[in-house]
Amino acid sequence: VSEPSELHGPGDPASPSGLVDHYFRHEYGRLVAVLVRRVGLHQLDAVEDAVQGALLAALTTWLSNGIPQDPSAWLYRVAHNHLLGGLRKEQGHQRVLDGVAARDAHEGEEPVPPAFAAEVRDELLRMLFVCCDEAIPQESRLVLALKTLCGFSTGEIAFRLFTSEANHPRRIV
Amino acid sequence: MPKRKYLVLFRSQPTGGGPQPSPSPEQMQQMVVAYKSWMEKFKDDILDLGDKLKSDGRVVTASGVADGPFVEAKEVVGGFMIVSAESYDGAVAVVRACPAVHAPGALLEVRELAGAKM
Repeated sequence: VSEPSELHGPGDPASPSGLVDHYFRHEYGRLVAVLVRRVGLHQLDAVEDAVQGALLAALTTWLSNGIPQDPSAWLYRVAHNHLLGGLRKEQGHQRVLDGVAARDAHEGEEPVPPAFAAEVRDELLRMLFVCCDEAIPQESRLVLALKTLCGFSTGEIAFRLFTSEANHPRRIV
Repeated sequence: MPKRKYLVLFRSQPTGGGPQPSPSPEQMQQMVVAYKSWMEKFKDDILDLGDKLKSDGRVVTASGVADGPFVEAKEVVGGFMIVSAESYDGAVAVVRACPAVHAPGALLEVRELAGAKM
């Protein structure tokens, strides 16, 4: 799990692309943890889809327009918008949406990215505890942590654990 | 030798194996790195990085307008760019080095623009 201090901005001499190694993978875990905290664990699938969508959007937009000043804030904003857009489409989630919208109304128009490194660490730790819940079969806890916190795809996890991709849980609730 | 302009069409053929799985975060970052180094290497040859094309469109003929592109088409044009080179060999060298060549089912068509010697 990455420390926020690793999330360097553009022009980092460590990498010709301006992104430190594993930046996308670390951002994935960070964004999933922060957004799950925001809309609830039962929306984990929607959160993961939104974060994946934001990274894909970054892939095309950053290549043609350059990497933004604050890539982490850019990703958060796009993932947040994808998430609310996705939830809005789902009829059954209207209540959740109302709750989030009401909270957003208090916080102003723009979503507020987590400001403090300690806050992000808390979200990641919270997510790690979720992954270690005893209600989840032991082998699934590892897979879940590698997927949601570390940003590995199920294919990559299966490759490392020598198991079939089909055995991995999509959902935990 | 004067440079000429070439249009590159990104086509894709059906790969047969159903929809491709979405790339993992690590793969996406590798794609950014690969494209960035390719763009840097050929920055004098890539005149216009072009764009992706959205999947819907319109097909216009004298008799009317239909929604397109034609769904029965075996290949779909997914994007374009414009490169400059002295010859087809030079243009092909730029295109062969493009990471998009390695996408499943990718087929890149290179066509010289007829009236555009630079």
